[in-house]
Order: sequence, then C-alpha cells, then structure tokens
Amino acid sequence: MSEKDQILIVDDIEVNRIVLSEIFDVDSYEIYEAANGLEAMEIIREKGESLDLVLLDIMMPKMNGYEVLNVMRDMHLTEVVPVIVVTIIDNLDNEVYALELGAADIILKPIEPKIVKKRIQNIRDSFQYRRMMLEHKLENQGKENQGKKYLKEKENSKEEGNQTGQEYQRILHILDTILQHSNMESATHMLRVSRYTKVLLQSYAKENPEQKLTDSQIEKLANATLLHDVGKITISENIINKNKKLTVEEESVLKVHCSVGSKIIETLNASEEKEYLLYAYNICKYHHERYDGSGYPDGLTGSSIPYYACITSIANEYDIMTVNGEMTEDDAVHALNKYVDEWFSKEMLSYLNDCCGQFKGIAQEINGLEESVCKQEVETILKREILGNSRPKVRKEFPEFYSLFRYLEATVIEINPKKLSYDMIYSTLTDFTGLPAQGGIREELKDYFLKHIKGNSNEQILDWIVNSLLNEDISSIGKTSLIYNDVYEEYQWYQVSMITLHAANRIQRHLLLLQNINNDVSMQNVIEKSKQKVSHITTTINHYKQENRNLKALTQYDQLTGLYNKMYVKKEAQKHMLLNPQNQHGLIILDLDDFKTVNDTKGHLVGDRVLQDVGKIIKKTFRNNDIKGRFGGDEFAIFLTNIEDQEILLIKCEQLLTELRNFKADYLGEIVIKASIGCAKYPEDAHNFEDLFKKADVALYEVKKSGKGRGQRYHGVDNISKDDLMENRRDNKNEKPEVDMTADTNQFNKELSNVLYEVDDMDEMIERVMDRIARYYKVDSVAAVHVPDRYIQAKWFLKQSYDIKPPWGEQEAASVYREMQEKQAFIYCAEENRTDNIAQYYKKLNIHLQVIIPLQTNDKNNVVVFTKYAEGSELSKDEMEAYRRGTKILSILLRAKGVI
Amino acid sequence: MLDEKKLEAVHVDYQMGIRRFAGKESLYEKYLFKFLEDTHYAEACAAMEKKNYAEVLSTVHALKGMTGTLGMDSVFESCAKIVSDIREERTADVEVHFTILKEQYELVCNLLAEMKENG
Repeated sequence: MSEKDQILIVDDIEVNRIVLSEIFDVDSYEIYEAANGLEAMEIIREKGESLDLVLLDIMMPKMNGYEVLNVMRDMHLTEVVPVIVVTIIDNLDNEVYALELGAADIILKPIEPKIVKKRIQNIRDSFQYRRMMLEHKLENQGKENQGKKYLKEKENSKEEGNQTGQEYQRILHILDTILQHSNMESATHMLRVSRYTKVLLQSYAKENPEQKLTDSQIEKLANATLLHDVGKITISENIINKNKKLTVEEESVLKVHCSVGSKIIETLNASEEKEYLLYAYNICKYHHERYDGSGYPDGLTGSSIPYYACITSIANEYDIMTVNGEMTEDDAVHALNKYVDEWFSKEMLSYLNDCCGQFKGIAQEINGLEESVCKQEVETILKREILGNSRPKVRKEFPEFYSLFRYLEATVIEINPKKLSYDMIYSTLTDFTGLPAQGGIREELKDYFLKHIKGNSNEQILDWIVNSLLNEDISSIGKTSLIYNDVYEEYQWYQVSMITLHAANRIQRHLLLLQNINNDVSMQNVIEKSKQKVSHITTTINHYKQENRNLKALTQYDQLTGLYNKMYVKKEAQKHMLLNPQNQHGLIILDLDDFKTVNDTKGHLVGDRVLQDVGKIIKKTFRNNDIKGRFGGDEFAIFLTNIEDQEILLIKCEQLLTELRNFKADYLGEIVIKASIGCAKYPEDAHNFEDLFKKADVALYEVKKSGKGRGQRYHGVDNISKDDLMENRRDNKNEKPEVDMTADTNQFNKELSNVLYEVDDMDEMIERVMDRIARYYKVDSVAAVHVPDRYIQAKWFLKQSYDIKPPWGEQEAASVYREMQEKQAFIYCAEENRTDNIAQYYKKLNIHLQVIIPLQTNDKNNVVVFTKYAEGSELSKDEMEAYRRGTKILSILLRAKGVI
Repeated sequence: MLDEKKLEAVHVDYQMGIRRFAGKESLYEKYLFKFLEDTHYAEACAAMEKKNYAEVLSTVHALKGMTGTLGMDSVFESCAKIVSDIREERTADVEVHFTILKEQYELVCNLLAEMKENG
C-alpha cells in the first residue's frame, strides 16, 4: 500500500482514543475516530475494505462494540479487515465472545504501547496474506502446459533468494492459518486421499516405465495432494457446509476455489524447493478438470491435464463417496467406472481397478487415528516440504491448545526427559525473552534460572522438574516463583507447572508451563469456553483452581464442618432481606445439648466428628437456597430464604430434631444427639439480621431454660435481659473458650513438628503451617504479605487468591507503621472501641481483629497478617504470644525459601 | 513538568502515564487537567444516591478506563472493585468501595486542581 494506511479508532472516552492514536506515526497513517458504534458504522460503511485496521472498544453508548462486530461480520469485513478489541478485562466470557464474533485479537486496557504495537504488526501481517489472495482475479489461462510456464516464471521472479527468518515465519503463519481454518477439510480426508494417490501413482509408474517416475517423486506427489482444497478457506461457510444442492451462483463461487487455491500455493514459495510447489499448484488447480473437457476451471481435455491431477481427482471422488459409509468401496469403484471417457480416461480407471483392493486397508488404518494426530502429521509433512529442514527459533506446536496457551499467557517448554533437553514450543511476547529456544536443562535453562529467579528456589525448581519427569503421570502445579522479567524490568510472579500430555498413539509429552500470574489471570471461563479438547491440561488446571478455592474458603467457611461461618451467613442473610423484602424468611439457631459432656467423656476427636455429622445432617435437611452455617462451638444457624409461611419454620425445627435424634454411628455408642432450637421470622419478628438473631436467641434461651431438646419460635415476649442471654451463651459454649493457648500449644507444636519433619516440599510446608496456624488460633486468615511503601500493591508470597489490602488509607498507614515499629506489632481489635479512622475501615469490612507482625525486626514491608472476622473477645496476652510465635515460624520458613 | 513526588503520593504513576502518551509529557499533562472536567464521577455519585446500580456500573466503568489510561492507580483499583462488586451482586461491598473511591478521587483531583492553578 503506497498511500497512507487507514485506521479507525472507536472509543467513547476521548483520552483513550488519544492514547491509541499516539501509537501510530502520523506520516504513514490516516486516523479516523468514532465515539460510539453508530459513528463507527458510518465510517465503516463508507470505507469498507479500504480500512487497514479497526481498534474497537466494547462498552459504548448508542451502539456497543459487539453490535459493531456483528454487522461487520455480516458484511464479511472481519475476514479482510483486522478488528482488534481494546477493552478492560472484566470478564473473560466477553473476550471469547468477541473472538467468536470475528475480532482478530484482544488488547487490554490500560495499554502498554510497545506491546500494542507489536500485536498490531503481527495481526496485520497475517491479514496481509488474506487480502492478497482475495485480490487475485481469475486469469485466462492458455492451453499450454501450465507447469512449464509456472516454473519459468518462478525462475525469473525476484522472490528467489535466501530464505530469511521473516520469510520463514510468514510462511509458517500462513500454514498455521490454513490448517486452523474452519473450512479446511479434515486431516483424515487429506491423508486418505494422499495415500490413495500414492498407491495409484505406483500403478501408473509400473504401466508407464518411460516416465521414469522415482519413489521420491511419488512421495512428493502424494504429499502435494494435501493442499488440493486449500482454496476452500476463501469460500463462505454457508456454501461449504450446505447440504442441499447449490444454486448456480453458489456453484460458480465454489468452482473458484481451484484457481484461488493455486494462487495461495504460489505465495508459499519459501525455499529453493520448487518441485513440490509446482505439483501442489497443478493438483490444486486441475483436480476438477474432466477428461471430456467438462471440468473446471479451464475445461482442459484429455492429456493436457497433468496425469497426477487426474489421479488425485479419482482419489478425491472415491473418498467423498466412501466417507462415512455412504457407499461401499465396491459401489464407489463401480460408480466411478461408469464415467469412463467422461470424467476419466479408460487408462486412469484401470489404475483404480488395479489398486482399489488396497484402499479399504488404508481407510481403516487412517480412520483409526485421531483427527489431531492426523493434523499433526499433515502439518509436519507440509512444513517439511515447503520449508525444508531449517529449524526456526520458536516452534508452535499443539495447535489445538494454541488459543489456550495464549489466554493463559503461558510460556510452554517441552522437556525431553531422556536427553534432559528442552525446546520452547510457545512463548508470549513478554516473558522469558532471554531464554534460548532450545538447549539443555542443566546448561542453558539452569543458567537462565540462576540469573532470573529470586532466592534460592532456582536449584529447587530444576530438581523438581527432573523429579517430576521420573514420576510418570505426575502433573505438579503451583510452584510460584519470582522471576525477573526483562521486558518490564522487574520481578514478576510466575506459576511453574509440569504437565504430561498423552497423545492417542501413547506417546507422552512433558510440558513445562510458565504462567505469568502477576496480574491474577482468571482461567476458569477460558477453559470452559475453549472449543478445543484440553483433557490433561484441564485436569491439572482444575487442580490449581481447587487450591485457590481452598484458600478463599478460609474466609467464608467453617473449616471443621464445611458450613459457612457466621460472618458469611450474616452477610448473605442481609443481602437476601434487602433484595427480597416482600418475601418471608426465617432464622433458626440450633444449640447442641450437653455437648460438653460428649467432649469430656469421649474426647475431642469424637466431639469434632459429632459436629461434622451435625453439619452433614443440616445440609441434608435444608434446601440449597438456605444459608447454613456454624457459628462456633456447638452452635449452628440456618437462614431460610423465601419461605411460604411460618409453619415451615417449626416443621423444619421438628424435622431437624428428629434427624438428629435418629442419627446413629459406631463412634457415638449409646449417645443420642439432642439440641435446642430457637427461631424467628422476617418480617414479623424483625427486619434485619441483628434483631432476627436476638429474637431467635431469646427463643433458644427459653427452650434451654425449660428442659432443652425442642424447638420454639420467638413469641413476642422480650423480658429476658441481655445479661441473661449472654450468660446463657457462655454456659453453653462447650468448646474451649475462643483462644485457649495453653491446652492447644502442645498439640500445635506436635503437629507443627510433624509437618516440618514429614514434608519435603517447601511450598507445601509453608502452606500447611499456615493452615495449622489458622486452625489453632481460630483466625479466618493468615497471610504473609509484602507491603511496599506504595500500599496499593500488596504482593503475596504464596498465593494470589486474596483480595485483601491493608484496609487503612494512606494517611493512616504512617501511624500503623509507627506502631509496628514501637511495639513490633500493629493490633486492631473491635473490642477496644477505637474511634479513629483506622477503626472505621475495619468496621466497614467486618473485621473483628487484625494483628500485623513484621517478619523480621524493624521490617515494616514484610509482615504476617492475622485476621478474624467472627465476633470474639478481647485480645489476650496468650493469644498475642501465639501470633508472635506463628510469625517466627513463618519467618524461618520464608527465609529458607529465600524470599525474604 | 509537574511535581512527580506529589503525584506519586496520591498514587498517580506519572512515568507510566508519559509512556502511554508516547513520551509526550505536555499532552499527558493536558489530559490530566482535562480530567477535572469529566462528569462521570458526578454521575456515578448521583446514581449511587438513587441506588441505580446499572447506571453506577456504566459510569464507574468509564471512569475506570480513563483513570487506567491516565495512570491514576488507586482510583482505577477502586473502580475495578466496584465494577466487579456490582457484576457479582455484592451490593454491600459497593457502598464500602464507593466510599474509598470518593476519597481517592478527591485526593487526586484536589492535587490536580492545585497544580493547575499554580501553573
């Protein structure tokens, strides 16, 4: 294009448009702007295909980005004009949707100019070729032997020359696009036709010894058939997939695929190798010609049609007839023979008749392979024939996982366990840019890791890689590491995983996946939406998601029973009452009777099991919509949403009591589970959770005082003092008081030393220790945090699953840090009734207690944060001691890992 | 040349902003000041009063895009939270995060207004 390139930028926010247009040099680009979909459509309708690029925002008034894409797709513009969606990552669903609508790529806001430039360049390259072949008009070919003319043209053409890396990439890219295209035929069909052709050619060679057809030529010819229908990728899907008879117009469009396909093949000229392309060109162009001149595109007759094109033609027709068992092999041969002297010469058909016996075996063999395997095969052959044997710097393999890798923003390295070598299969633009594409694990890879991985985890990671390979079928996830990124010039978080892929022919491939998780990419939707088969990767990634969920669960769930904790129930209940004020809801509070006795006589382990089983019974007895929780000790609560009438409450109480009473288990022995229940109803008894809870509590109190073992609803009499209620609560707290450090410490220490002793893996150890600490100190979360002076980005040493920042504002940070320095700890406890700004923040987030302790003396940037959401008591000295102890332990472990 | 330290204090990533504007500092500054005239924040506040969460979502979303581009990190983050809160229907959290947004927004705007006046 000698004139300026035309770019359309669409975004409703002016500053965003400005920033995007700044990327383009004003001398070479003509930029058009639109502030919404409607304005964009005007420009699009006017300019149409002459647009070189569209940068499209999604959220806009009047007409949004999706609508624009839709229209462009209907106008078939998305096939020739690259549309890049520029959007904020809110929801991966939306992104996949944009791609399905025909967007060429997605760029996230806020933009990083360098990256955007590169991406745009890549996309435009690939569209360039698309346009090129669509712009080719049909030429009127003479009846000369096209082959010779073609060869001569190529010799004179300037395209000869050394094969550069760029040229190589371009061809590679084109091949990729061809193979990925939805209109491209199935690889199994291509392989079958190729093999049939080979066999037919062998027959031909025998009958025509004067042609001196060599085996390698036959091989090449057979491989050349693979591209015979490449032209179909330019034809509209509607025509390709149409089951009914095509209209005359549609037929003429379809016929074009032969010439167009041959033009595409012309562009694949990459190496000195011309023979293969010559064959492919002719096969593609003439495989629909017919003996009697009734074929297309040129209506050639008889022997002016290259013989191998005829042969391919026969093989192709045969396959079309016999695929999916439409016709039997014999019927197909019979049918083809009927066309003697029309479609094919007698001679050609004689080859068919000689060889058809072998066709069945060929078909069976190839049909036994999976499509993906065939695709690989086809790809390998094509690359070998067209590109020769030179190896590029980065290969792209596993095309079916390609889009997945792209979304994971993962660098994929294949490891050869026998040779201990690696091969970079896929890389993102910005990660591991300094790592050579191939090399030895103990050489180049180790070298790279030593220089780039923070702490002494580099050795560990290498060992871990090697060990994983020795265990077949092990896919390990989740070694997070800080690795230096040369593009961004800072340390970033990566998740390092080993994955084993099993191909259909039982070949195992080991992949090292290095994912940049610096920005907390959510993978869930990608997996679900990706249309490709992901088998192993899915299972291993699900494992990672599961771990993530486990940690999140610490803040929502009661760990022992798996029910929700008090804070969560309260939040959800309030939400329901807010959103459905016109419906009826209820709250049931359940307290186990004489639970302390169970603990005393049978021990805590049994006590725990009872609680777990009670939890299970509650889950069983109530609906999915009901919010079921454990409020601590032996107290449970269920918030029933949208109930029909008040009778339900009491009925449910009875049901629950009965289920508990009837529950039998070996470990229980002769003990029967009894409980007291109090309930209250919205809207009659109360309008918010606090009051609802109070009223239910009053009812519970009455039940307890009058013999226990039953359920009762609050009946409006409120003459019980608050103190009495509180006392009742404390009496019935059968579990140890909130934090009894002395009793627990020994147990805790024991368990801790077990973990430290048994577990080899540092990451796992740290996790387990944190888990233990959380359970024993009954905190809702324990986290080791690195808080840089800019408090916005708190990075986590272990997992990036929390969405917690220091809750105070920037001005408060100073006083917090000061306190940490003076007392070597910062403490916030709701019981203390602070009234400053800091307290405000905590109140809003429902945090009851937060203790922040530096990991090392006077280090305000690396701390451990203990958080409790549940209501509780004051912070005792013992508890504080316990937190300090926990911090010390973690500090040792983290230092051992090398991160502090 | 604006006082970078002051901007850092309110979490505006000045260097990144300049980069995004292809190194054109004056252009970046122009749009920083122009931000003061933007109405999306006011619209978001009004929508919050009426509890019109759909409106809050679209205004805050727009604000998010702008502040992201301009390097106003803290405002950007609070916007991001609000957007995801509304999308996942955590209405209680929206209140909390909106309060935080208010503070951050005012901090940044006050500073910018001051800088604009002093030339």
